[in-house]
Formats: sequence, C-alpha cells, structure tokens
Amino acid sequence: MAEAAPARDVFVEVTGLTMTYGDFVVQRDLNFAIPRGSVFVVMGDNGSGKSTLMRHMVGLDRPARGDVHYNGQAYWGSTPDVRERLRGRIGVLFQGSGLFSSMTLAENVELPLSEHMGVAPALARDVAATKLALVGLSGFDDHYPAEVSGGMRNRAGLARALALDPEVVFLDEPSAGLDPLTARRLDDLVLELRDSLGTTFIVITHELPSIFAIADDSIFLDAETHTLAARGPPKEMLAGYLEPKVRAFLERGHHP
Amino acid sequence: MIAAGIALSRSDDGTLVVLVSGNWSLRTPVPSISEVEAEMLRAPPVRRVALQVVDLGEWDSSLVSFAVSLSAACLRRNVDVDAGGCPPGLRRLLTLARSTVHVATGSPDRPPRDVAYRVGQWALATLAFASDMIGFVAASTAASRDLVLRRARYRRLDFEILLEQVGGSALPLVGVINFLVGAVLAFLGADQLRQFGASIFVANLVGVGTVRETGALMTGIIMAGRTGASFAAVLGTMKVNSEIDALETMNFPPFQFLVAPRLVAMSIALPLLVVYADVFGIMGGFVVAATTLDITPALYLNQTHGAMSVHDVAVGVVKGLAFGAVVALSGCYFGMRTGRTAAAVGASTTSAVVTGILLVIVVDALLTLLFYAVGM
Repeated sequence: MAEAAPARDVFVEVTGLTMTYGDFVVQRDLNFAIPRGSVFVVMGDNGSGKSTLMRHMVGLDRPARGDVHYNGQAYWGSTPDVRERLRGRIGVLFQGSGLFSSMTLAENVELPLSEHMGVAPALARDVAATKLALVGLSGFDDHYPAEVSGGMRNRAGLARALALDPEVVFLDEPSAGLDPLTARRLDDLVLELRDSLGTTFIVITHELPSIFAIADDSIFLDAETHTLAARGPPKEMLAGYLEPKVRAFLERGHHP
Repeated sequence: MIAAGIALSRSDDGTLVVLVSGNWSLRTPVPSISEVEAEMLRAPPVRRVALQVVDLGEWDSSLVSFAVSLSAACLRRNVDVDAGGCPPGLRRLLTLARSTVHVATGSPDRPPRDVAYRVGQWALATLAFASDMIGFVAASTAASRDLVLRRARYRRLDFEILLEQVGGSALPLVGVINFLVGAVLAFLGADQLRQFGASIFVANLVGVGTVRETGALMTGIIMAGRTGASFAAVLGTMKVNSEIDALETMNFPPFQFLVAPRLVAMSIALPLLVVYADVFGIMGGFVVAATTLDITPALYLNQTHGAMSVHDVAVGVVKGLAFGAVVALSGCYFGMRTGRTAAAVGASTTSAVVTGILLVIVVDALLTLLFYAVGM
C-alpha cells in the first residue's frame, strides 16, 4: 500500500486481489485501502469488472488470489462463522434493486431487522418507515415493488441496504434510472450518512456529477490492461497526469 | 453502558421539552413516542415540542426513527417541532426524512376480503380466463398454420433446437418409464389370467393396452411435466426480461416467433414418441412374460402381433398428437401470461404443469369415448 497513506483508520483493504472467470482474468493484483467513514467510488469502462469486484468484496465470489480485509480481518481467510459475522456489517444495493417481489417495501426493510437483530416488530416498522423516508419514499410502506417505478425500487433497495446501520454499504449503480433531482438527493443522503453515522460507502457509478459530488477517493478499472488505470480523489486526478482514457471519461461532463 | 432514556418537562410558554439521553441502539430496547404522545394529550395544550439531548452516548437509526416518528406525530397535531438542540447529524437526517420527493396518495388499492366479493371476482376471472384462453388457442393455431405454410416469421434454428429438446432429449425418460409400465401391466395381467389358464392373453393385454392407451397417456404426462414446465419457465422469464416486448417492437409477432414453433414441434414429436413408447412398453411386457410365464418368446410376439391392428396404433398416435398440442398450448399460455416478478414465473410454471396433466387426461377420456363410439 504505497499510495497516499490514509489519514483516518483503514476500514476496508483489498490486497493482491485477482478475479477470474474460468481462465479469463477480469482484474489482476488490485491493491487499495478505504478509510472508515469515506465515500469510495469505483469507476471503469464496460466489462472492466466493477460489479465483479463488488461481488468479490461482499463475499459472493471467491477471489482467485488475494483477499479483502474488513477492520484488519481477512474475509476469505476466515472461517465461515467469522465470514457470516462480517457480512452482517455490510449492506448491498444490487443493480436493479434485488427487492423481494413477494414483500411490500416496508417488509423488505423490516426483514433483516427482525431476522438478524431481533428488533421488536413495532420498532422494526418505525425504523423501516424512517429508512424509507430517508430515501424519499415515506408513505410507500405498503406498496409492493411491482407497484412503484424503477427509480423508486432502486431507492427502496437502498433503504433495505441501510436497514441494519451497516458500517460499509456497497451501491452498484445507485443513480441508474433516477432523474437528476432524485440522484442529487441520493448523493446528499450518502454524504449525510457518512458524516452523521460514519458509514463507509463503496459506490460503483458512471454518473459524473455524482462522482465529483461524493467521492473522497476513487479507482478506475481498465478493461484492456485488467488492472487499475488510476487512483485518487477524482478532482485531484484531473489536475495531474492521467491515462488518456481516464481523462476522457472524467472530462466528458466538462465539454466547453 | 447507559440505557437510552427520555425525560419530559414543560415550560411556561407551552413548550414540551423532550430530553434524550444515553446510548441509543437497535440492539437494545429504546423508548417509544407513546409516552410523549400521552403527555401531549394532557392539559394545558402543547404548542411546541423541543427535542434536546443531554449526555447522549452512541446512537444509530433507533434515535433517528424516534425523532422522525415524533416529528410525524407533531405534524398530525399541528404542533411545531424544534430540533435545534439535537446533534447536527441527527438534525440533518431529520430534515432529509421530512423532505419527500414523492408523495404517496394513500395506501395502494387492496380488494376487500368478504366472501361475496371474492366469489364474484373468481367468477369474473374465470370467465375472462376462458375467453382469453380461447383467443390464445385461436392465435396459436393461426400462427402454426402460417409456420407450416412457411409464411411465419421465426428462426428455423430455434425450431430445430426445440424439436431436438422436446423429441430427442426425451427419449431415455420416455423409454424407461414405458418399459416399466409395460412390465407392471404384464405382472398384473399374468396374475389374473393365470387363474383361467389364459396366461397367453397377457400379450393381448400388454400389446393393445400399450398402443391404445398407456403409451400415449404416459408420454403425454411425462411431456407435460418435462416440456410444458420448461415452455412456461422460458417464456415467463423472457416476459420478465422484456424480451417479448422487444420482439413485438421489432415486428416479430410473438405468436409466430415463440408459440408456433413450440406448438408444431410438440405436435410432431409427441406422435413419434408415442410409437417409440409403444415399442418399449411391449418390450417390458415381453421381458416379464419370457422370464416368469411359460410362454416362449416367439409365441408371445406372435400373439402380440395377432392381437393388434393398425387401427390400435393409429388411436395411440392420434392421442399423442392431441396431447402434444394441449401440453404445448398450456405451457405457452401460462408462460406468455406470466406477471413481471420471479414469483410469477414459479406460479405460471406450476399452472402450466397442472393444467397440462389435467388436459391430457380429460382429452384422453374424450378421445377414448369418441373412438369407442365410431367403432375404432
């Protein structure tokens, strides 16, 4: 970890991570550290393995080599019991929300509260209502996912990811399908939760306004070289030397 | 660790001060707003609620939830809330929760639950289902006619793959099951016929029973479970993924592109599978007769040959054709009518199999009566 020693304590650390699909190497030898209470953005071109990286970090796919450390504890190097406990500290918003279609929005959020934390039903309902209100969906508690728009489903998925007050939250393209105002509100929410509850966010996104608004730090995954093309806070990146591809990506929003 | 708590006090100007203290965690019991609500009902009336903290330890969503619920309760009573005495983070989260982008207009419509309403709904739904199904059968038949007359838009390769999936791939299962059914039939018959010294007629029972009845029936039921389910699941998932919408916008009529190839493939494959099933059924009976009865193999085969006519085989094949059509229609119908959720795909697969098997048996009974009436 030679680069920019983090000022705050490191909470998530990826060391020597190599991800493969069969013989195909998606990304090789990734190394980066994410300080507690920061927003870390994962950028990259299509097919560079951003979602795959998330799947490896949240414990869905096992890396070919390397590991992911939470609070100094290796995820893949641990026993299944420890892994299960670590997973309890992670919230994930999947692309396309991943809401359970047979449950109302409130029930989707209540499920982890009552099943994993044993929160009393009345409190679980209140907390679910609050989480839905935080993402701008107050009053939609009794709607089923099929009864709301795609953007609203996305935000309900975020409310569910936040249900257990996780220490680290992964968001896979949270702004996809959201209008600019709603996307902006989502950015505000991310920053608010970072500041008030100290939540760490790892966000996969292509939305340039969002990237510049929320990212404390970022990486850019390259689909051709299969490794990091750039690393650092996006605003500072633009000031220094950048791979042409990364510069083109970041400057798309700044046409004269 | 100090437990979460609240203390209430009133000031002269009609302000109710809610003082929050301790560690607020979802993992431990926390106060509810009912205490505050009860205090608000007492005289003198509360004009303003001030939320303040003292000795607040660690806090999480449980406190945010308390503040949001309190704020909502005050809003209902037209009482102002002053969160000025809260930590800035909590204040900002409260503001965020109160500013709503979308306003829900009441709860979504849920049907009332009384019996009369449900019976009425059921009757209307059944009527709609029947008329929808008839329309579907008509459209499928028309599309299949177009396919046979080479006027339909479809991928020939898809059709060939389907033919292989519903025909060739089913051979092992159809063979094994019909062989065993033939053997069971022979055991059953041998046991009864031996009492009259008529063991040789086992060959008649197995031969005629298989080609007229069990060969076609067993194959129809197997295909309803195997292929009807697969049709419903594939088409249902395509529906969920908007693939069927995509076909329509690209001007590929879904009935020609998806339903007709399946219906035609099943109508070709099932009669052929029935003939194949007949051979295995007779073999099953032959093996049982040759090993447990005093009948020479040559005599058994001769007797089988004499017992059956071309008509008997034709009856089985015609039934196979009908079973293929109803199983394919049922699978395609429920697949194309799937809702847009994962649970809906499961429900339509179940309906496809249940309806497929039911239709196979009903059609079998009707055709048996029909053939009996015309003397075949």
